[in-house]
This record gives sequence, structure tokens and C-alpha cells, in this order.
Amino acid sequence: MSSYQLYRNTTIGNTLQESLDELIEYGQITPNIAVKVMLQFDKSINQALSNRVKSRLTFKAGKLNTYRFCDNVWTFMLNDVEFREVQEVAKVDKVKIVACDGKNVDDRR
Amino acid sequence: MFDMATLIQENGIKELSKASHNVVNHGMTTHAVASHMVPDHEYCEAGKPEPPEPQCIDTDVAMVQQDPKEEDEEETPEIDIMINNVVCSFSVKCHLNLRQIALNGVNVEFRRENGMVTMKLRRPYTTASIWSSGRITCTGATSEDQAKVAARRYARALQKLGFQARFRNFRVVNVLGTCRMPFGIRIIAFSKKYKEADYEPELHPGVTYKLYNPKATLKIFSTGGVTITARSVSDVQSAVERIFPLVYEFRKPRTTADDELLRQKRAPAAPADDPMHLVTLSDDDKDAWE
Repeated sequence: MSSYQLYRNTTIGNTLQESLDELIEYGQITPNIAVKVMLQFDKSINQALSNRVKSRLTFKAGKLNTYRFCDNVWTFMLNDVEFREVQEVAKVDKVKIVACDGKNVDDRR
Repeated sequence: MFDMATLIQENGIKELSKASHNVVNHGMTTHAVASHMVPDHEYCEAGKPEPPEPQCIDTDVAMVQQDPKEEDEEETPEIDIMINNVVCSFSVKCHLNLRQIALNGVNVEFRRENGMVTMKLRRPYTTASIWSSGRITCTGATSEDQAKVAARRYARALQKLGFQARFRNFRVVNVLGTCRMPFGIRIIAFSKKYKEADYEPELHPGVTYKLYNPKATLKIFSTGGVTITARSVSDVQSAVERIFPLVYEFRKPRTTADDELLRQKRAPAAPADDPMHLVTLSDDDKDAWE
């Protein structure tokens, strides 16, 4: 049961990857172990985000610049977006959203 | 006077010209009318002559000026035909890598179960289905010219993605037009007279009438609305011209029930004041059991 590798290109995912690469460079772990770590990371982050995250965020964009749907993955480019949490607002000019289907993956709830 | 028709002409629709209708009982003359519209509320009842071109009305009231050339009975009022959808097909004459289009293209959807890429354009607002063979179907345009412009834009988008695309074999496959007769239609009687018309009220509230020259399919509704699907815009126009006398024979003055239903459709506002008043679209109750 593999989970989405969607979250590897995030701050946390990238730092983990870099740390593992450093350890491999110093010969302290094998590349095989690094691969296993990343796979576990995928599972854990997917679980954590679906089970342990309670906060709600809404957003509204001025314009949907482009959209793409391929391999069951949606990619949106939005312009002039406003993210709103209960009392906090963040305004951005450009946003890229990559979205995978939340229905199918069902590992160890 | 002439600018009233530009709204429609921008969409590439020509006015319904008053060609001879060969309707014996009304004996309408061949009268090519200038491009002006007679809105529904100006449509006169039977017996009163139709007001001719608006410019010759001197008084402010829409009093009828007798035009000696016109018949005493009603003429064909102008009917505006709206073109809702033009479907066209063309080829770029080269094999297309759908995955590459799906990954690099803009405003695309690729669903493997359909085996094609769907690409949309913002202006003109159209949707194209792109197959790996290089065949492309473009739908959603509102005129034949717009369809061609959209098709060219798709071919250009494919060129920009790196394919050796050329614009070949463009043809309009289907045109959907709608028009509204300024009168209701007794479709039960209509379907009885014309056996080639299909009317199955339990399946669909309209009569399906197939014309063979021009090749067209018309759906006729009791409100007087008609939808036409044909091969081209000119076919749609001639289909309306052909069906008009047939349908005119079975016109019915719009009952208050029909009018109310139309008003409800146009402005879905508050519900009726009197909840007990049942408004039904009763279709020619009088001759239902003839």
C-alpha cells in the first residue's frame, strides 16, 4: 500500500531528503535505508495530515489562470489569492496548487 | 432600424427572409423584409394587418399603416434564430503524444478512460476533444466563423507544444439553433396530421420532426419554442422557413397558463400568491381526444 509522494517537495520533506543525503555522503547509512526512510515519511505525513490536523483554511482567487488534470492529479495556477483562517489573512499574487485524490489512499487510519 | 438586427448578425445569423411559403390558405407574398425585428408584443392577432417597416410610422402609437402591397392577413413576423452550439471537426495531420500535451499544455484534462485530451479556450469559449490520431472536435462556438477561429487557435496551441500541426479538413459537423414562434403550438394535433413526426409525451415533451431536405431535426414544443439541429447555419435557417407554415397552421393563442409559465421561466421569483391556483401547461385540451 503506497502513499502519495506528494509531500516530498515540501520544506520538511526536502530537509529530510537533504539530511539523508548528507548521512549517505558520510557513509553512515546506506542508500537503501534512505529510500525506506522516505517511504515511511510518505506514510506518516499522509496519516498525520488526515488524522491530526484540525484547522480550517479557505481561499479565494481573483483568477484561475490555468488548470491541468493528468494521472488523476489536478494542478491549478491561481492569481491574486487571499487565504483566510479564522482571524488571519494572507494575500499572494501567484499560487500553484497540486492536488491528489483524497478518496483512494487508505492506509492505516 | 437596421441596427436592431446587428445583435443577431454579430453571431452570424441571417434574418429569416420572407421567402414564399406556399401556404395556400394565407397566400403570403414573397416579400423580402429589411433587417428589422418585430418583437412578440407587436405581433398582431389574426385579421389585423402587420405593421410594416417602423420608419413609416408617423404617429407615436403603433397604429398600423396600411401598406397596399401587403396582404390583409398577418405576415410572417421576423423570427430570430439563436445559434447555441456549433460543432466542428478538423485534423492536424500528425500523431499527437497525448501525455505530452497533458503535461505541458494549458487548460487541459486527460482522462485515460476516454483516450483523449480535453482542452478549453477562453475566447471563443470552446472545448476541444483531441485524439492521438490528430483528429480534433471543437464544440461550444456560437457561429461558424467563431468555430473556425477557435479551431485555428487549437491548432496553433498544438504547434506551440512542438507538434508539426497543420490545419486541414475543417468542416462544421453540427449546428444547434433555437427559435421561438410568437404563438403556441397545438402539438397533439400537429403530430396527428404529420405522421412522420414523433411525439411521445411520456418520453419528451416535444414533437420530433425530421426534415430530409435540408437534413435537419426539429423539436417542437407547445410553448412555440423550436430547437433545430442541422449541418450548417443556412440549413437551420431554411429548416425554420420550412417548418413555419406547417406549425403556423396549428398555432394557438397563448393561454394565460402558458404565459404564466413563460413568465415564471424568465423570472424565477416568488411563488404564486394563490397556492391553490393550479397553473398547468394544458395542451390543446379541446382536441385531445379527437
